Amino acid sequence: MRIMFVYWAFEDQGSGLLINGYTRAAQALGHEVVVYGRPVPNIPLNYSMDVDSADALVYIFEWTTDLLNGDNLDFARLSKISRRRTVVIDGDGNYNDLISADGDYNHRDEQARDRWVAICDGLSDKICQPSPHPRCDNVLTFLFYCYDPASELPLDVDNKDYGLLYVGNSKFRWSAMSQVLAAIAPVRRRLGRVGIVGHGWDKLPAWAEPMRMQAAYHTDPALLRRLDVDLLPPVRFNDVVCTMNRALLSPVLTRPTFNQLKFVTPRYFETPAAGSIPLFLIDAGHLQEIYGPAALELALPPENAADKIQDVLDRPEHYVTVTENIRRHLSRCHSHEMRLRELVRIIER
Amino acid sequence: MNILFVSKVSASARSVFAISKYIEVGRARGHQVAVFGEQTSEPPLFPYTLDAKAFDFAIFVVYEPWDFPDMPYLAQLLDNVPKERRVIVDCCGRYNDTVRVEHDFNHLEKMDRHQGWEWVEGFDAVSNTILQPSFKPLRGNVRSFLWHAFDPASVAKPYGSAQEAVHAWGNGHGTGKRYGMTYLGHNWQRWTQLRPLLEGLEPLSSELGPIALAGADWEKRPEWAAQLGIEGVDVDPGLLARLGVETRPPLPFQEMIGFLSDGKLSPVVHRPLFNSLGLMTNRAFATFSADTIPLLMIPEELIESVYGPAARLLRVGPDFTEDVARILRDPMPYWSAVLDTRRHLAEHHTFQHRLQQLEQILEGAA
Repeated sequence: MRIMFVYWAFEDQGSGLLINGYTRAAQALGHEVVVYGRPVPNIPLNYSMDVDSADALVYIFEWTTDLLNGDNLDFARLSKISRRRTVVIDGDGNYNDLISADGDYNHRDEQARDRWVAICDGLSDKICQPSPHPRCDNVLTFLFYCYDPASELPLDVDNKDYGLLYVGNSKFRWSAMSQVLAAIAPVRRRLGRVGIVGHGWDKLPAWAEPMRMQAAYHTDPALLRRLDVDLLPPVRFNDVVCTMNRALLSPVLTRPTFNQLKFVTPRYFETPAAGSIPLFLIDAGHLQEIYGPAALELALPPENAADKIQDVLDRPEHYVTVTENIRRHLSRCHSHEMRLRELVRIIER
Repeated sequence: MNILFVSKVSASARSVFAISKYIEVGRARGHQVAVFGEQTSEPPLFPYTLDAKAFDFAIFVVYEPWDFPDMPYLAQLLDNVPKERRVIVDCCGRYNDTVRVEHDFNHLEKMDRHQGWEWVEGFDAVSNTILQPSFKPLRGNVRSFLWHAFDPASVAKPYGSAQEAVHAWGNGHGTGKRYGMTYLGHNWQRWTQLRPLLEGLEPLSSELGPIALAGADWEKRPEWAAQLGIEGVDVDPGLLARLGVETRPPLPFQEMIGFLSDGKLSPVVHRPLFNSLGLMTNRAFATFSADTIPLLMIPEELIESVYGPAARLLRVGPDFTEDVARILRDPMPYWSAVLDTRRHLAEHHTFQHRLQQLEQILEGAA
């Protein structure tokens, strides 16, 4: 089956790495995954404009339903694929009623929500969300984001550049990052270098103001300076895993609404592949459901969080074993191949 | 019959006048006619609807990619109106292989990022019935449908005779007019033709009077054109200044005939691409409703086939100075040609005629 993804890809954020994983998995399984559009030099994906050759269309809607470098003529062309063979993946939980949590929200207002839902419904009857527990009855579970054992780096915890490094943008993540910072403060000196890679940690990203998203990128640069946190520029999606690999600890943060909706994200699966120990700030039930029970040991507790960091520093080998267990679980339950087979089933429903 | 027009309506561009007339004429013939979209209080005040299911046919009037509705409306429309009940009026010849004439194209990838085959595929995805406002569509599966038409009711001054027209025009010399020449249209692929016309009028400026151009980008070549290397919006501000040409912003379609009527003369100029493909425009018909002498600058064969034999006299160029001087010296035969042409258009090219043709096409398509 030739599956065409329709996706607004970025060089340094989003699901580019994941999509390339799907492309490889598809080749291994005798399918093909392409991304609708003309090649974008700095975003290396398997592009195609040949709608006629596609057997199915998968819209990946995260922050927008618009097309990258596309317009209504593209939507007209894409309409050649019947809605029966079209799937929408609602990656940010926008196909829901209005929800908000800790300053995070899925829509500004009902009008935006209605439009989003109408667009998804207009394209397909198969709306999927990357959550084991979608809220809407008509939404299917399809976790979409997945684990790629081929990208695993050795879990060698010695000689790391950083004690802790987070790779990701600040969008709605300051509250989770504050918990990480509070946890490391008591052990700050022992931890060594601490860094954050991504947009919006020291200043607003360029798009925040025109998109009226200043609040989403709220941070406390003074606190980051006080804790001597290195603020590093974003990296290309192909370099995410090896960047995380530079640290002993890599926090897995999520947006408050994603936590509420029990969503998974690309970083959920990329982080354990880095040769780094993941540190989870995720709802405990959700954590166990995705990563298996072993992962609970790597949850940053709300109380005495510094003790957990201290323990990792004291017993890194133990947590390497925990991480290996997590990797095995993810390889078994959340591989690209499994996801792709599931996607094909959804398409053929 | 319930007919739904699908197009991005702008008060001052593209097919707004035609759509307004199809609504009017359609209703008079007992049809329900509306434009697809959310009802707006902004002019033009057309009847809009999103209830596509209530309509028998959807007529897409396409110039630009955005003439296809935004999502989710496009998806809803395609879901609710079966393909055999959708028709596309291809106003710019997009549904062709790529055609280049001078620096005019039917596919301008630099501007909208679409290659020619994407247009063809897009149209094929939406409909099996493609119409072009040309007598001679290039592709075998495209039907001729001129779309634009003449509205006798819009004629600013329906003279009974050429003498009356000449007298009203300005005591025989057009001196009652505010302008010697008016042109309404955006500066898009017109300059290569307007330039020699303006240069030809320069020796006649005192006799002719001032010239006014209304539309976008007549003051200067816009920045975006320079950045993209697009030559179709060329203009020579020095020449316009020397001739004292007044430039005005685009006008809403309701003011079109009034503005054209402010000039003794008004050119009918088509893009080089349109001349090559024989595509008709709204202005080709509306100029004959204005109280002005149209200066026809479109291909000779098109003039005769659309306007009838009398209109041949109204063709000007390449010696614009001489041609226009002759009109100014003795406007009577030219006004006579205008009135004969109006009669011809009223007999063959009204919106009533078009709607009847469209009804036949729609019935055949379904």
